[in-house]
Amino acid sequence: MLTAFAVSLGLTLLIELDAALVYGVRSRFDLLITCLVNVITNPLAVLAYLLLRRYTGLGPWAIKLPVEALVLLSETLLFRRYAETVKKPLLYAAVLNTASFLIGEVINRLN
Amino acid sequence: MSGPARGAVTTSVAVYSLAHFAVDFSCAFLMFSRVFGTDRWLMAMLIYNFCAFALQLPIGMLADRLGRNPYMAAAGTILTGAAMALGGLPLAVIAGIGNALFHVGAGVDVMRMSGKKCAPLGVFVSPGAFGIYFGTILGKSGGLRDAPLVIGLAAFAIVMFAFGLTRFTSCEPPRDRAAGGRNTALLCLLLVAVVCIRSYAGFGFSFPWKSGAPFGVLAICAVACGKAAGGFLSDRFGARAASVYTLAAAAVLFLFAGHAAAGLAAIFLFNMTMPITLKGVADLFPGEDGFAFGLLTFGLFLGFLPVFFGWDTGLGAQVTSFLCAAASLPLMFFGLEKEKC
Repeated sequence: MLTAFAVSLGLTLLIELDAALVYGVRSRFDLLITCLVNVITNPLAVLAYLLLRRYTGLGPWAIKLPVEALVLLSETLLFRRYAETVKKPLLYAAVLNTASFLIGEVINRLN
Repeated sequence: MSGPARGAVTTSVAVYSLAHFAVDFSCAFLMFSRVFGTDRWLMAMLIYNFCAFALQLPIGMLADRLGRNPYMAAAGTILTGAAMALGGLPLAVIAGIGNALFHVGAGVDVMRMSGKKCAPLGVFVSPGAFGIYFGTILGKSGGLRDAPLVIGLAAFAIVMFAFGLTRFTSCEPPRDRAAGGRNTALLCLLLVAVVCIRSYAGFGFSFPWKSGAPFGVLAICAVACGKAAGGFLSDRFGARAASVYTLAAAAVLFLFAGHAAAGLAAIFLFNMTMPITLKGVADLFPGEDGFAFGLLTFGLFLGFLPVFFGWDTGLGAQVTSFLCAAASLPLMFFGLEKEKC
């Protein structure tokens, strides 16, 4: 269980940090905020997914999509509140989360 | 010293690049025609890589003091040629030392000639991949005699010796570089880590399509062209931008590297950071290009060790290479903090 959390967080941090740099964020503070925001949202999202999968009869996508939507919403709010140079927090959060979600899906299929 | 004329730089880079191919070809050819298959192969491989890569660090420091880089390159080619008279472990040692001497001598000379540009470095480093690949293939097949190699190496040694005589001294290191400052050690560590990762990836990853005849050669072309293109791209768009976008694209493409086209494109893009890291570290140590060069090749040796000892991530080539490219991206970004390349 802990390994799953650690792998998910590590991979998400790596992908979203890369995506942030590709997006054009150059402020060290904002890159740090990006990492910290993920440290908050990623374990909660993974926990929510695992619990809902275990205690509801819902399929994986029926859980993933609303959980990701909540992550997107909360990250947008956090970036809007704390990031210094990110002009469009919703777009920024959407780009980062889409990148980590899609790459994560591909990696899951490869393993 | 205002630096050599452009024509002289082009000639020197061309000769050094061809000699680079010849030296790497000869070393791979010798190792695979004389030592491969013997009971000391693994030990010889380790010793050769230690001499060829790790020894470049002390040799580089020596080169900074002596400042006679063309002579050092010529000595390296002669030593590589002399290794043809040997066999077993002595061959691995002499060929490895020859290789190290050549790389430091020629590499530092090219680095100093290129001033603030990355492109000449990229051009210089790229033929080595071809040399190793074709040297390995011909060495294993036993389809070549030693004489042309000895003559070729001797010819290159004479030309490089002539470089030293005509220039009288090697190119001086550029004076307009600013030192890395307080963060030098940290920035250097980040860039060396990128080299370790790239070395590990280069030695370790084998995609199924690479064993096929056309794709094996194409993969080597992708490595060599990627290294050369990286220098030009860095000069055109800046080291940081070139590194960030090429590594990001490489990371995504590696996930689809089960298909040859995606794999080749990923390898091409992934290798673009090679001259950029070289220039990045050299800029951190003004006037100590030999040390910088040696430090990075020491990184190559460190990246070779996990492959040699059979350490595997267990994630498969696609995911592991994705992780290598994805991890290199922030390292390059922060490592090139003081962008001068």
